[in-house]
Amino acid sequence: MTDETSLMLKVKDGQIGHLSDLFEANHLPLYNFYLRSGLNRALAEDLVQETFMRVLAYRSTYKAESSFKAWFYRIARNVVADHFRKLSNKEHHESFEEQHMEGSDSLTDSLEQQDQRNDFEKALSAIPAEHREIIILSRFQQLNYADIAEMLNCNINTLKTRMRAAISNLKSEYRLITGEVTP
Amino acid sequence: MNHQDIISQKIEFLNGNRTNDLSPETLIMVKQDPELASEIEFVEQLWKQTELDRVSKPSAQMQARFYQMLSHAQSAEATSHKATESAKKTSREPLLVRLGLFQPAFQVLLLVVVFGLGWSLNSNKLSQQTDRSAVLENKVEALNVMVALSMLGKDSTAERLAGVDYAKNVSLDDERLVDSLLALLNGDRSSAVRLSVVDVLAQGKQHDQMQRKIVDSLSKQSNPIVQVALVELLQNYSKLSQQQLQTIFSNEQLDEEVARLIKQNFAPQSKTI
Repeated sequence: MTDETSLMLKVKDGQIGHLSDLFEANHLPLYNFYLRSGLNRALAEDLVQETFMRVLAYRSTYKAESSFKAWFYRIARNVVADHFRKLSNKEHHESFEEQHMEGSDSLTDSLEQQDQRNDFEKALSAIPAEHREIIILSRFQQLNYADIAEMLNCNINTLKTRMRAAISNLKSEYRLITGEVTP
Repeated sequence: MNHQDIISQKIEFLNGNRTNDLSPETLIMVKQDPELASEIEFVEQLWKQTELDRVSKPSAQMQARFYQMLSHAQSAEATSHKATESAKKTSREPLLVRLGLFQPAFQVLLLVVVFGLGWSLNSNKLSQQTDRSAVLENKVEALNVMVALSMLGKDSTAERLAGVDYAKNVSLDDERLVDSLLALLNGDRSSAVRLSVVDVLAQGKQHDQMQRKIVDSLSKQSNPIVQVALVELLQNYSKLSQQQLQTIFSNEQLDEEVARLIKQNFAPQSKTI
């Protein structure tokens, strides 16, 4: 049983003060998950708050056999889906290049590395949302295949197929952006 | 093993979910297929690009909001727990009566046993929970002060107003917060901000030092509405001294009606002026 699983079980058991430990460990990755999904900063902050409120509200539904991360990010996905259901999402999207990532002004940054990062981010924002989502969950949130499959309610083989398609799609966009291939 | 299996193995290895990288046999397969080799190379490039791991930090306000929410939830939980315990106790009473434990000696004995058991089982747990709550409350308060200070220092009037509004929910025990509010009261270009500060200060503790600061501020205010608000605030304090009244009346911009109001409300001292 992971630390987070046991903490969540304590929260479920009524020791809700332990939610602060889960918040400290997860709010930053979750906030960046929302930013990478294309939301602006203010909205990402609101949805982080909403996600933790739902963790508290639905704590009785948590089961130890499910990984905390899978359960947590399933709630996070529902939060953002509910948000877009209620509102038109036009003004809430922010492109990756408009977002300032911490430390990007460091003198030690090489221009080449910065360019490469920008190209990856542009490519990521150009691919379909369902492909972007599984790459973000795997690459940035570091979730394993079993957790992602559980979240997306599909089997591992289906996920493997989707992941390959997502990688292939991202690679094509990246090469277009870097000029390795012409459209 | 098909291509997606190989890609998934590579990704799981790069994420640290697998201890072994691709086997030599698999690598031979990869080399023989240029498209697969290119995909594997791209995956490695994407996963090893540490520049992509840079993160943006949310505002401190987000943390403050979370801890406020948690604090409210804990209070609600504690209230609900007490109500449940009370309901259980009531439902157990008839059974005890049926068992004949209504006699005083038995009741005292039962009380001692239950209390002893309960104390030994719960004392550690209760003290840990109390400590944790206290730490959490302090953390919430410190974050609230930090957020309020940050908002009070903003250039935009709307943001400063929001900051003053935020400060209404923060304890005024922190001197930095009180000093910031007083600085706004004495020097902010917006009357709306100054008026809102008066509202916040009205919620704080009343002591002589604060009374002196309010008198000092009143001697500098030019807007009659702010002057009236400060006079009303002064009514919460003890009577003004002769010297304090002189300080107030030294304000050449003191509105005539406000001066009359001060004389009416602080009559014993005003007669001597």
